[in-house]
Amino acid sequence: MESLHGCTAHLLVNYQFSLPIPIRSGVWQGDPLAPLLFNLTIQPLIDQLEAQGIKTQAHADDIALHLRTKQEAAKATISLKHYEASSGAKLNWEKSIQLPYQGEEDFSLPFKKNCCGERYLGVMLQSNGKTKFLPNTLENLYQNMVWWRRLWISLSGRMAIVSAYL
Amino acid sequence: MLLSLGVIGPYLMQTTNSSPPLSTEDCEKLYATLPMVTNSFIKGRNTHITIARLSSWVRSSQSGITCLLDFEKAYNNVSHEWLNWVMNTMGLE
Repeated sequence: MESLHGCTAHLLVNYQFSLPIPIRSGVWQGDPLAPLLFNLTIQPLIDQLEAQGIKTQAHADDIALHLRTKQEAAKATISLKHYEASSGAKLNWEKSIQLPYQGEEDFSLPFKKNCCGERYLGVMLQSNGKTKFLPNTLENLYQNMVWWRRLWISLSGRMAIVSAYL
Repeated sequence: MLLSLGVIGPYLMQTTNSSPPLSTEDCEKLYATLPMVTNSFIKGRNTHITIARLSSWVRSSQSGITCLLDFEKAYNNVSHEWLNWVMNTMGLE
């Protein structure tokens, strides 16, 4: 809990900086330790779901579950609620997506239903499990490249833009 | 720039429209060698494996519901007590 040393913050009050306020806990913005700590905190949730036989995939906070029965859906909902209560994480119940396989009955999950497909980790995941290249990716990339070419910036600036986009 | 995109473009389309490059067996082998943790920021894990595994489950079971969860400000909403508890339980201080 003491990875921050000598970090201070200033507040801008009425166009004047306040005295420095020492920050004693947490990690820096963009600290490479942050994702690893986050992985640790999400591990108990994944362990619990796996122990109940629910197939789980996680890429940092992008978690995907594959639920086969109504019982599994109920168990997963309970586990998620427990995790929310104990870890302070807030699950966006309205923005989370459920992709039912064609003809699948309703599992009464509290998530938004989406039958065509959803963007997951940069690809379009369809309800039949197949992945699709996102539409217009190449066109957008080409338009962006034309635009970046006109910008008056150094080589390292260009590299930063391209790596941020990709 | 235009030329290179023209050359790569059809190749990109071809590779990404088909199934992910890693086969399911390869994924399972990779998973056997490493303990089950999230796929991010760990050597040997990437989004390809995540997607390949997920899509193989859906395609093989031909049923069920896939849920994609969305955490609100995930990195900002981790309580310190929880982090302390997890790290102590795992033997990290």
